Amino acid sequence: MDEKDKEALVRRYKSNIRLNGRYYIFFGLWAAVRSFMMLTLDDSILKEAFAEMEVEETIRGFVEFFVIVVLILIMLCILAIHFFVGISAIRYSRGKSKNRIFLLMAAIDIIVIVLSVPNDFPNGIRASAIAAAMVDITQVIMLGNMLYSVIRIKSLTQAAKE
Amino acid sequence: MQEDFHYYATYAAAILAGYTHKESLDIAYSAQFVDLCSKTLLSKIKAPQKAATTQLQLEMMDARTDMVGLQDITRIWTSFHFLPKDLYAEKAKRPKGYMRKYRLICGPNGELVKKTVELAKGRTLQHAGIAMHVLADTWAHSYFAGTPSLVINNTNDEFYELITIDGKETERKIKFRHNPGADDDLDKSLYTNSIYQGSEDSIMNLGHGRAGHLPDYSFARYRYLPAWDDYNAMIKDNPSDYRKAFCQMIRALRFLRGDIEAFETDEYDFELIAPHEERIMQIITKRQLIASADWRAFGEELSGDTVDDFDINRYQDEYIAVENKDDSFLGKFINAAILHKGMVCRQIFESGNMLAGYVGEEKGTADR
Repeated sequence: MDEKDKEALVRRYKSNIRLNGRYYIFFGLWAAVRSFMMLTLDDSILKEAFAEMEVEETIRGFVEFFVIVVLILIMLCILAIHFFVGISAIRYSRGKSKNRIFLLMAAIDIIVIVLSVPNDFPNGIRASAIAAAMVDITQVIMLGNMLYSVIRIKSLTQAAKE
Repeated sequence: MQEDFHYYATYAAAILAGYTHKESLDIAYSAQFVDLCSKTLLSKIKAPQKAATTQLQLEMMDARTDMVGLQDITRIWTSFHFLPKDLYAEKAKRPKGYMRKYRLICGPNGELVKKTVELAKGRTLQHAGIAMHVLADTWAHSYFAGTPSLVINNTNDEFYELITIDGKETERKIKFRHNPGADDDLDKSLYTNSIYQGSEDSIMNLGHGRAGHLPDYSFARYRYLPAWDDYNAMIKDNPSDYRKAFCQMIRALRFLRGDIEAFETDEYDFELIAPHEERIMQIITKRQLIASADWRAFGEELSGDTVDDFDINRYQDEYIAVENKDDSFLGKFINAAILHKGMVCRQIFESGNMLAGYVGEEKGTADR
């Protein structure tokens, strides 16, 4: 492989990282919107959870409010992680940053998603569960592609230096 | 290319090829008129609209992008502004739909440009002018296709101008914006281009829209990634290309005049421009939005005559008034345009590519 081909491949992999970074941000936004819709439009989930809580009636309202706030904070944390990983990937692809912490977070997210896929089927195989699983698998592929692209760039640039 | 090259430089090339002042003006006028002969103009003078050699921005905004509309767009733009270099090009692992567009990529010294010049032999000065426009554009518009295509014509933000600052060659990142009303800022490398549209067949992805006017600036040298080239960087050296375009025009015009037996691709009359080389390169490399004044001064020095300003209305009254349209200036231009378009589209059709539609054999032949 000559230098010109290596340069072209490096550009291709950088483009992959940039695209996957953008998609990861959109996935984060989608997850936040989906969670928000589930909590607000289908309050039966929360009602069932609250009904099972063994709490004194005098503080029930406060506890429910606290739970909702914690859920929102968790959603925002997940969204922030998506943004961090996505923006870091984009900056890395443009050569503006050499920080690779986002790769560690991406690798952890892959493991978390793979382990959580069975949770998409709480009530057996249904269309909505299959759709959720496909979204999860897409994210895994996307993050895997990002990791692979970084590894390939490293090997191509090291080979070029030698 | 712009009026500076299509009109004034073509005039100068015709003078150097041995044409008289009047003949050179006719050739140059026809070369420039290719950029203006739209369906709107033709309908105004009640001329056949199939002779259209360009489309106005407003016409393109209204253009359909279904198969029929795309064929209409492709017929005009590939025939007159983005002559394909190799209708039988190969690229591995690409589907048919992609290859149809890939094979329309424009470039100099293809078979079609030879056919274009040969078709003009023994015909009118207007036909010679059209051939010169098409030939010149194969140099300027290289690497873009005359059909709307994101996967062929798109570019990205990796676009750098190669400039010399204080004697040292450097790269300066080009910033694109979509502001057709504003002039390009050459000092800051700020250029206008067409808006990114993710749709494959969007009119924004026609020709070199995504690279703005850069291909039409003779001074520009730049590095970018064409969408079709698999992340390989392309360096476009306009000064070198424009010089070759000028010398190839002279050669083609000498062939059309009968000075030489044959017109072959990749042959240039560098010797004829040798006495004027420095002057020509000064004009070509000067950073300016349009070089009309410089080319005009050069042409007038060569001929000793005055080169009239280009006037789009000059021959329209004649065409409207005359009974036998074919004898008028625009009548000859229209006939030449129809013949040339038929030839190019027939060639595209015969290569198995339907992007320019079906052209019957009788329309595609060079019968005299």
